[in-house]
Amino acid sequence: MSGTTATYHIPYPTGGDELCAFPTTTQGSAQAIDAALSSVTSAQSRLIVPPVVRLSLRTQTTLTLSPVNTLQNLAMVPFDTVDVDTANMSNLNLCPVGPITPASLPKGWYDVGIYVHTGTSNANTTNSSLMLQLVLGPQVNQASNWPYCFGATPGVRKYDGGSGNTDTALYLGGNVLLDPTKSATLPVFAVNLVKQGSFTGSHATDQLITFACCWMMWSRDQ
Amino acid sequence: MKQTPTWGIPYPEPDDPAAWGTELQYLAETTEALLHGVDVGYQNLAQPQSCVLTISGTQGPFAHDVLSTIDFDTTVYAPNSPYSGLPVASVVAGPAVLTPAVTSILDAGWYLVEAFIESDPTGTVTATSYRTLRISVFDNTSLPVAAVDNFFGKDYDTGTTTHSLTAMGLTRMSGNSYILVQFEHGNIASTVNVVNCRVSMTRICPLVT
Repeated sequence: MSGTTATYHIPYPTGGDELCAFPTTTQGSAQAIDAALSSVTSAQSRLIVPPVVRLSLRTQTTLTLSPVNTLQNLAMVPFDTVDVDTANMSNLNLCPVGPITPASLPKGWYDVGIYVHTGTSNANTTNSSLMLQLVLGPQVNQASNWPYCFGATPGVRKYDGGSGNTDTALYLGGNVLLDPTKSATLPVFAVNLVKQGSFTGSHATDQLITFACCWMMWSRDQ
Repeated sequence: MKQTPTWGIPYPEPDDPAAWGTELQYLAETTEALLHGVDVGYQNLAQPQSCVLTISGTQGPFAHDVLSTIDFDTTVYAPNSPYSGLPVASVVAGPAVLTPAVTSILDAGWYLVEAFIESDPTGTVTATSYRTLRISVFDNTSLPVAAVDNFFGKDYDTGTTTHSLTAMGLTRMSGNSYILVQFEHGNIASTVNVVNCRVSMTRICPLVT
């Protein structure tokens, strides 16, 4: 009677086997090795092409900023291009403001980042800030028709530190734990530009975005 | 001799006992070759193509409102990269961080690029003058050569002397791309030195859409 290895159950001939059983046993060996290789390389392929998405805003866009900085007055960057998406993490029709996380994604830690280059369209001289928001739950009073834009948890905030009447380049990054299997959370993150201080000038609440991109990529299982 | 359907692993046939020894040898050799391929694949995943480069000394002084390119001259880290065994000069020759000749043997893919810069005016500091760090990604596979991506870091000096900036982005690189790291400032009152600069890039995944 042939033996088998402990982990992958690969059969092998033993001294008690009939000689004529040798081909059958080695056929079983080859088939078991074949299956084991498929299993191993399947796991490897998830690492070779991990869940990665990058969205960008390539058309210059002017956002209308609210003078009141609250979660109900977000001026979100509407991305218009999917540059890469390996795991159905984007749907610009439903959610142009950031990646989505379908339940098929693995639960785990994800690296997220956002880069925004603002232009010189507004005429006031107040500082601006950029807020990266990871949306984790339903948000009431969201002034948009985007069904996937739910409640926001403020992330990092950064000031340009200078006059508001110039271009500014800002980026933010972080690592977050997501459980896409919990559909109620439907986590997406959105980019919010908020003006700080007084609003003056004819276009005080306008902010030109010359380019923006955001990305999210799986880094490890929980 | 028959083979498994997926990986083509050979195994002996019953009607040719004389060949069993040879066929078992084929089975072992084929298995070994396949395992080696898997092993190499995991090694590449454990150490993706990446590098960290720095400057060995102060660069500048740079005049205001001029975009100046940083020349990296020190390889800090480049494991398992196609250029890891190359002389430093091959990696960083010229102003480009990675020359076209070198990056042509890089695997195409999506790369995370990051840069950090620290600048220091040589004299008087102009209040709230800007400092800009720019990472530009160029693709040499099509003409005219144009920047695929530009990632800026921009901030304003608030009266201190040294000032630091960072920039980063996820970018598409073909097998013939290179990146430039550049600095610009608006410090009219004096020139500015770059006293520290570091750039890194790490391959995340192949080019897929």
